[in-house]
Amino acid sequence: MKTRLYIVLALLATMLVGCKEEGADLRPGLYVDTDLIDAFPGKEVRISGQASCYTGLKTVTIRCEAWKIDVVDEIGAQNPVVWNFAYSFVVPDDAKFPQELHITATDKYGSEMKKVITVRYVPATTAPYVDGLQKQMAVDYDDEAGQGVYTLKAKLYGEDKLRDLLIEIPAESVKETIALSKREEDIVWLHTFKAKGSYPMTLTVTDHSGNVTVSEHQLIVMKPEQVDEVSDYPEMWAFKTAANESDYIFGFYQYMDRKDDYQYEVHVYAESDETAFMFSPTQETNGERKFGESPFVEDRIISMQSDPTYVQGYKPGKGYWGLYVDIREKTIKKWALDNSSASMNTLYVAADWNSWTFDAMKTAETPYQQKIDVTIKKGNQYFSFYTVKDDWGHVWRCWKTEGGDAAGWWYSEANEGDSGQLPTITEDVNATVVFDTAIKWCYIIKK
Amino acid sequence: MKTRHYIFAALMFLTMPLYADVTGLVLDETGEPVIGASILIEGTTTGTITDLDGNFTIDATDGQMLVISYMGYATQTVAASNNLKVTLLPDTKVIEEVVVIGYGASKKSNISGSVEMVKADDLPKAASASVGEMLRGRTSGMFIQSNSASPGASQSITIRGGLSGQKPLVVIDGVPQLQTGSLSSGTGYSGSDKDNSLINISPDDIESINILKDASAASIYGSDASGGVILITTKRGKQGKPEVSYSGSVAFQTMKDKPEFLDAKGFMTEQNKVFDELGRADEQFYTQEQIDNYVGKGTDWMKKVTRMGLVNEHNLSVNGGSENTKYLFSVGIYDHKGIAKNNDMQRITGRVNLDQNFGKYVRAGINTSFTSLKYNDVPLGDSRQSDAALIYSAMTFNPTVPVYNLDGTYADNPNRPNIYPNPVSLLDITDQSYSRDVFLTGYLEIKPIQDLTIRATGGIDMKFAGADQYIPTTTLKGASVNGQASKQTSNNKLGIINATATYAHNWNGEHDLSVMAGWEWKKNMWDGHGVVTSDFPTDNALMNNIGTAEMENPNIWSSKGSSQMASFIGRASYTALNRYIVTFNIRVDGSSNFSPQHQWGAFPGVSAAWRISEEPWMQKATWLSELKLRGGYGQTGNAGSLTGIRTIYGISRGSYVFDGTLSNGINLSKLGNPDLKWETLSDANIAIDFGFFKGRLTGTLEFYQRDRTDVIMSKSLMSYNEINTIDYNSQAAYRSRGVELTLHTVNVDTKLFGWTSDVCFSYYRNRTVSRDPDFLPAPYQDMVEDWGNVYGYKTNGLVQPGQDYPHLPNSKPGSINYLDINGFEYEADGKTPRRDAEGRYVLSGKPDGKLDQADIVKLGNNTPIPFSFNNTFRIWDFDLNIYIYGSLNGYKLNDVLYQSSYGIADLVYGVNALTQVRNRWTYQNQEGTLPGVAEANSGINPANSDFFYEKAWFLRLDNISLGYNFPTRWFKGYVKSARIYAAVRNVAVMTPYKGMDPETGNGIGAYPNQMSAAIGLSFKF
Repeated sequence: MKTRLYIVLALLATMLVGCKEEGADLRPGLYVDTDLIDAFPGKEVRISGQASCYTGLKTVTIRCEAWKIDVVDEIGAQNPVVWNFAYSFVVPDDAKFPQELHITATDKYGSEMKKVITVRYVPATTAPYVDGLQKQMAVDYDDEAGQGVYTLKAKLYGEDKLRDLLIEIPAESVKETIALSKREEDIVWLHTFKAKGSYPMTLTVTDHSGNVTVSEHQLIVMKPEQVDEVSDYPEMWAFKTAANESDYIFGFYQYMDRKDDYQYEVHVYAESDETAFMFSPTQETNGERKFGESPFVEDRIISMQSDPTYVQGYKPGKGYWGLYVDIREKTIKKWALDNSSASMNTLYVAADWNSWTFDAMKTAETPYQQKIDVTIKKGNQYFSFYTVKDDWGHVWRCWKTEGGDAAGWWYSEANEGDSGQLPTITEDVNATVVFDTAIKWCYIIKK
Repeated sequence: MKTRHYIFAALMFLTMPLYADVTGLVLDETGEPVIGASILIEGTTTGTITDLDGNFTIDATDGQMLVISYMGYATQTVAASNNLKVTLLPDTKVIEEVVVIGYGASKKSNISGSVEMVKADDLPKAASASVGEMLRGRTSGMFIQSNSASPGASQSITIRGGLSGQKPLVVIDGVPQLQTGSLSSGTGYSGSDKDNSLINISPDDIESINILKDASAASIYGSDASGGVILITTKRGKQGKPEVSYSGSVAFQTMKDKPEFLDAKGFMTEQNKVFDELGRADEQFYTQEQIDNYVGKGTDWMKKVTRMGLVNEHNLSVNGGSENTKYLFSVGIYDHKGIAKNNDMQRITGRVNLDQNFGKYVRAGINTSFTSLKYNDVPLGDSRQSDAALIYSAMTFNPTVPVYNLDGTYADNPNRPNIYPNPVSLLDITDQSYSRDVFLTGYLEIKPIQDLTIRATGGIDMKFAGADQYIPTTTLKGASVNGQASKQTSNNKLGIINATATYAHNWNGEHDLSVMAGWEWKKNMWDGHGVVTSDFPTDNALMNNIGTAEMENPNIWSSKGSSQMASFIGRASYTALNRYIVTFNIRVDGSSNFSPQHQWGAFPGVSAAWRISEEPWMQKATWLSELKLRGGYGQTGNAGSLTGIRTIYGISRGSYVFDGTLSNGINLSKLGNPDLKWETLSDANIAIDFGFFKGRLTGTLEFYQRDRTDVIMSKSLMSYNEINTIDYNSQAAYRSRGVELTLHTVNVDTKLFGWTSDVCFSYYRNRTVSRDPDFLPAPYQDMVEDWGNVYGYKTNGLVQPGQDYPHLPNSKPGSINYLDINGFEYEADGKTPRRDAEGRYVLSGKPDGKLDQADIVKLGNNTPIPFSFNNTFRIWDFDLNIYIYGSLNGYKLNDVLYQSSYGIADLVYGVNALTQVRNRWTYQNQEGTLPGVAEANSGINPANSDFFYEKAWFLRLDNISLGYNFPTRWFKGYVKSARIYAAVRNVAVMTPYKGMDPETGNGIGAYPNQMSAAIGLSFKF
C-alpha cells in the first residue's frame, strides 16, 4: 500500500515539476547601459537598462543608502517579461565618491539578479552656455531722451553650478560681475547708451568647475526701424528671392510649419552662399507683408512694406538648413539639418503625364534630390513619388493646407493621404520635377 | 358421455378461429424501435399502432395476415404470431427525395436541370455559425472560401466559377433574402468583412438546401440568378404530439497557423546585423553585452492579444400539430468568443412556422424568423505605421518592449517612437456592429379543382444594421485626432408578392405534366445615415455622446433609395413513361433600374433528361439502379451594379469652389448610358446521373459551359469633366468550362456496422474569350486569357558578389536575380515599341539588357480545384465522421515571408520579422536563400515575381466527430432520441504553402485560423 502511495506521490511531484513554467529556474537577465558613471555633486545622473526573464518580473530596484536613493518599480501586477528602466537623480551636494548603486531585478518566483554601478568623481568639463542672444542686437535710440536703453535678457546654463557672469562693454567702460549659484540662471541687466553707434559687448560665464564661456556680441544703438506691425498669421511661406515665380509650376512657395504664436519653421536647401530666403503670409512675392532681414542688424527679421527694398533676403549659407522665424521677436535661428534619415535611393514618379507608369528619377544636385524631365500635358493634375517600382504601397504622400495647397510630403506605407496636385495646366509644357527627401519638398520648374 | 363432451369441445376448439393477443415489436433498419407504426389485420378494419418502444399488441388469430406500415418504409405483410419481430426497410419509392426547384418542387427523378441537394442534418454544426461554413466542399460546383478566420467573417461563395461576378441568390422558403453589403464600422479601422447572408439563418432551422447550378434551372429567377441560386427550406411542423428538440455544443478554439517571429534575443541580434549590413553599425541600439544578458523570449505580442476561443451554441425547437394545423417554434443562440481578445460575435435567432388547412381546398401558412447579430470587432488588415491593426501589430511589434510603462500607459517602440501602435493599445478600440433581421412570409394555397394549385406568397425581409466605433486617445491614431467616433445605421427592406398557378396531372402513371405560370413583384428600399467626427474632451463616453466632438467639419451623411422589379414566370415540365423528361422555364423581368428601351429582359431555360435505366430493355441489368442522361440550356441576366444606366446628379459636399471656398451643391455624379442593357449569362449543361448495385454507388458527372456576353465595363472619356467614365456593354466575352463529379458509396451496410463515403470534385477554368477592339493587352498578356493567371518576373536565386547584370543596375549582391528573358522590338525611331496588327507588343524573344514588362511571364494560375472526401461510419450506436476538403490547385504569395524579407531593413526601426530571415543573404552568409538588405534598393517589387510565390493546394482535415446515439429504451419512452458527440474541427492542413493558412491566411495581419474541439448533445422528447 505504502509503495503505491509513494508511486502516486512521485508521479504527482513529477507532474508538478513538469508543469513548471519554461525558464522558471533561470535567474532574470539584467543589463545596465554603463557600470561606471562620472559625476560631481549636483550633476543629474541617468541610469538605464533592461531586465528580462521567462516568467514575469516582479520588481526592479535601484538603491544607494548613502545618497538616500531607494527606487522600486513594482511591476508584479503587469508581470512583464521584459522591463526597460531609466532613472534620473541629482548627485547630492555633500556626496562622497566613489559610490555604488545597486540594481536588482526580481522575478515572480523571487529569483534575483543584481548589478552594481560605480559612480566616481570627475569634475564637469562642459562649458556654460548662453542662450537667447543674437550676434548683432539693435538698441532703439530715443532722440528726444537722448539715450537708448539696452536690456540684456539671457538664459545661462551650466553642467556644473554657475559661479558668475562678467559683462564687458569697453566703449562704455562697463565691467560688471554678477554672482550666480544655480545651473540655470535668468539674467536681466540694463545699460543706458547716450550715443548712437556700434558697441562690442563680451559676456564671460564661469562655473564652479572652472569652465569658462566667452560670448561676443555687437550692440547697434540706432534710431528705431519703422517696421510694420505683425499679426499671428495662420500660414507663412518661404521663397527664394532670386528665383522667378513664373518659372515654377509647383513648389515655389514652401510651406512653413507654424510652431507657436508668431513662430514658423521651414527646412530649406540653399544652393550657394548667396541663396537668400524671404517669408510671406501669402503666396505673393510682393504681397502686403513680406519678411526679410534688416539691413542694419543681422538675424533680425522684419517686414517693412512702406519700403519693400528695405528688407533683404536671409542668407543662411550653402547647404541644408532648418530656419525658425519669430516675427514678433523679429528673430531667426538656423541650424544644419541632420540628413541621416533622408533617402538617397532612386525614386519613381507616377503621374497623369505618364499614365501612372513608374518612371525612374535620377540623382540631382545633392544626393537627396531626385529629378526627372517630363512633359506635362494639358489637363494633367496628379502625381506621386514612389520608392519601389510598380508598388503603390511605398509612396510619398502630399499633405495639404485647408486651402488645398501642398504643405509638405511624408513617406507612408499606409493607404491614406493625397497625391501632389498641379494647378490647372492649360497647355503642354516641358518641365523638370525635383523631389528633395532631405527637406521633403517637391518643385517643378519649366524648362 | 363425458368423453363425447371432451371430444366435441376439442373439435370446437380446433375448428373455431383462435383469437388471442398477438404481441410484436417493429424495428427500423438500424434496429431502433419504430414509434407509431400501423398494424392492420389484412382484410379487416382492426388495427393498432406501436408504442414508444415499438411494441404492439393486437387481437388476431394465428395465421391472420398483419399489414405493417409506416411512412417512408416499405409496407410488410406477415402472418400473425406471438412475439413477432418485424424490421421495416426504407421504401425508396415512397421517400424519393423531393427537390425544391424555385416556385415549386419536383421529384428528384424528374429533375432535368442541374440541381444539387444537401440535407442540413448531414452537416457538422459544431463551431460553425453559418451554414455557408458547413457547406464548404459539400457539393461539387460550389466553391466556398472563408475570407477571414474571424468570427462571423464573410465567405466568398461561387457557383461554377462565379463567372458573373455576382453572389448567389439566397431564397428562403420561396422568398429571396436581402442582398446587402456589410456595414463598415468606421473610417479609422475595420474588422473583417461580415457574412451578411447565410449567417442570418440558424443551421438548426434548415431542413434542406438546394443549389440551382445551371441556368436551365436558375433561369426561373431571371436577372437575380446569374450567380446561381441557393434555395433553403426550413423545417416545418409535423403531425403528432408536440416534439421538443434540443441541440447544443461547446467548442474551444486554439490558434492554428501562428507564424514564428523572432523572439527578443533573436530580434536584437538580427537588428544589429541588419545595421551592420546597411553600413550603419554605429547606430545600433543594443550592445552585445545587453544581448548576452537577456533572459527569456521577450514579449509575445500574439499571446498578449489572443486567447482561447470559445463557441457556445444552443438550439431549442418545438414542433407538432394536428391533421389541419402544424407548427414549429425554434430559438437559438450562438455565441463565439474569437481567439483575438475583444473579438466576439453573438447571434440570437427565433422562428415560427405555421401551416393551417382550411378544409380540403385551402391551406395557408406563415414563416417568421428573427435574427439578431452583434459583433465586437478588432481592427484587422495589413496597414502600416500608425494605421497598423491588431494582428499585424502583434506580429511585428518590437518584442523587447513590455506592454505597459510604470504609470500604466502603453509602452512605445524605442527604436522609432510614436510611429507604431502598441498592439495591446488597439484592444482599447470600441468597434461594435449589429444587425436585426426580421423575415416574415406568408402563403395562401387554394385547390379549386383537382390537380390545380393556386398559391400566393407575400413576404418582407427587414434588416436594420448599425455600426459604432470609438478610437480612444490611448491609441496612436486616436491620440493624433484626440479621439474619433463614428456611428452609422442602415435600413434595408425587401418586399415581395408572387402568385403562381400550377396544374399537375398524371395520366395512368405514364404521363406526368406540370405547368406553372405566375407573376412576381418586389421592391427594394434602403436608407441610412452616419457620422464620423473627432476631437473629444474625454474618451469615457466613447461614441455615445458624439455632440461633444469639437471637430469643425465632421463627416455626416445620409441616403435613401429604392428599386422595383416586376416579373412573369412560367415553367412546363413533362415526364413520359417515367423516363423521358423535358422542362421549360422562362422569366421575364422588368426593372426600374433600366432605361425604357431595355427595361424588360427575358431569361429562358430548357432541359431534358432520359432515364435510360427505366427503359424496358435495361430492366435485366439489375446491377444498374439508375442511369439518367440530362442536358440543358438557359440564360440568366446580370446588371452589374445597376448604376450605369442613368445620369445621376448628386447633392454633395464640396461640389463647387466659390471664391476659393468649397461649397455644397448639386453636381453630376454619374454619366448615364441609356443604351446600356443586361449582361447575358448563357449556360449549357450535360450530365449523367448513375447508380449501381442497388444504390451502393451513385453519382453524377456534369459538364458545362457558361458564356457571359454584353459585359458591362467602364470606359474613360476623352474629356476632363468632373465625370470622366461611362459604363457600356463591351464586346468582351467571358467563358467558363468545367466538369463536376459527385459520388456516394455505401461501402458497408450491416446491422452493426455501416460505412458511407462521398466524394465531390470540380474543375473549371474561367477565360476571357474576346475583348473590345481597342483593348491593348500588356506585353506579357494574351488578347484572350484564363482568369486567375499570375504574371511576374522569373527569378534565379540571388545576385552574388562579382555578378553584374546590366538589366539590374541597382541590384547589389544579395538582391533577387530577376531574369532578363525578353525584349521589345522597336520602330525605326528605336524608341517606340512596335505593335502588331492586333495592337499587341512585338517581343524580340531575346534578352535586351533591360528588365521591363517584356520580361514578365505567366507564373501560374490560382483557380481552385475544389475537392472533398467525406466518410461516415456507424458502429453499433456510435457514429464517426471524417471529412476532408480542399483545393487541388493554388498559387499564392507567401505574404508574411515577403513582407518580412523585403522589409528586413525595417528591423532597424523595431519592426519584427520572421525567424526565417536569418537565412537571408549577407556577405557572411552567401549561401542564404532569402534576399538581403540590398533588395529594398533594387527598385523592383519582389511581389511581382515568382520569388515569394508558392504552390498553395491544400487538403484540410476539417472534421472528425464521434457520436453516440443512446438507445431509446434507456429512457423508457420519455426521450425519443438522444445523441452525444465530440468533434474536432480544422484538425490539420496538408499543403506545400508555407505562409499562414492557404485558405484564410490572406497576407500578414490575417486573422489566424483555429482548431476547435467541441462536445455536443442533442435530444428529442
